[in-house]
Amino acid sequence: VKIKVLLSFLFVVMLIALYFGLIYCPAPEIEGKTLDVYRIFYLHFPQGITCYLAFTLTAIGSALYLKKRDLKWDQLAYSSAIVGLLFCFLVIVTGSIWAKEAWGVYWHWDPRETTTLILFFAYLAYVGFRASIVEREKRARLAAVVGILAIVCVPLSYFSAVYMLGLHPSPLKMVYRPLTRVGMYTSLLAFLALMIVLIHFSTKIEELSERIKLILMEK
Amino acid sequence: MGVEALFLVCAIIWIAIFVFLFSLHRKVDKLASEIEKVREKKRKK
Repeated sequence: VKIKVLLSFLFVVMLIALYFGLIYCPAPEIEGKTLDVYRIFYLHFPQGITCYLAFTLTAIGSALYLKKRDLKWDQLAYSSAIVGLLFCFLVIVTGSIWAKEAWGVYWHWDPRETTTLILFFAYLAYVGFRASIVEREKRARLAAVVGILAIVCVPLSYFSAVYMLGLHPSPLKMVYRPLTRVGMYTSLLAFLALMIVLIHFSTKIEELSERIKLILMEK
Repeated sequence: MGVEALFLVCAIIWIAIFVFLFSLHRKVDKLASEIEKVREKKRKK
């Protein structure tokens, strides 16, 4: 029942976010310019936040697994890493579209772009590392260590736009108009709901595949 | 393409994604109950 309520909420809030981002709210003003293509910011900003949040959940799940040795935490860590990777990929794509308009090139090796790419590859390595270990307990234990270590890349990516010289505007210095904020936060709410739904499905599918493996092993 | 047309395109894409998510939810639930049935049968045997 809970997931059905969340799914209904997600459906409505995403449509509202689309309406706000594309029609109701003005295009965000970035570096003194207001272009319609900047509306991609209504996707880019929430995707970035949800990506960081999903990877933080991976670290939390990993730490809790090491503390409690309960495989449900390992499943949460893995599912959030997969969902985080999806959002990280989307944030790189939407960022590149925005960069083409703002800087004239899709990719500039700006500190934020580079560190986000490192973040993406770090979690891709985490997923690959997990896939290379067959034994479940051993996989969960070793992946948890990698899951905790990889979290270093999250602040590295976030603060790269604050402390390193680059073209990406610092998130701490950006000023938004009130209506732009409405669009941003509605979109963030929609993407957070989407992240929870995706993590739920991913965890459930992982759990079911483990149960099937157990049944097959009993045979 | 104007922003209104883009909104319509995005809304249609979102509805398609949502239908996929909802059908995934139903399939996962169905699979979970079938797995439980198989486990029950095994326990009885």
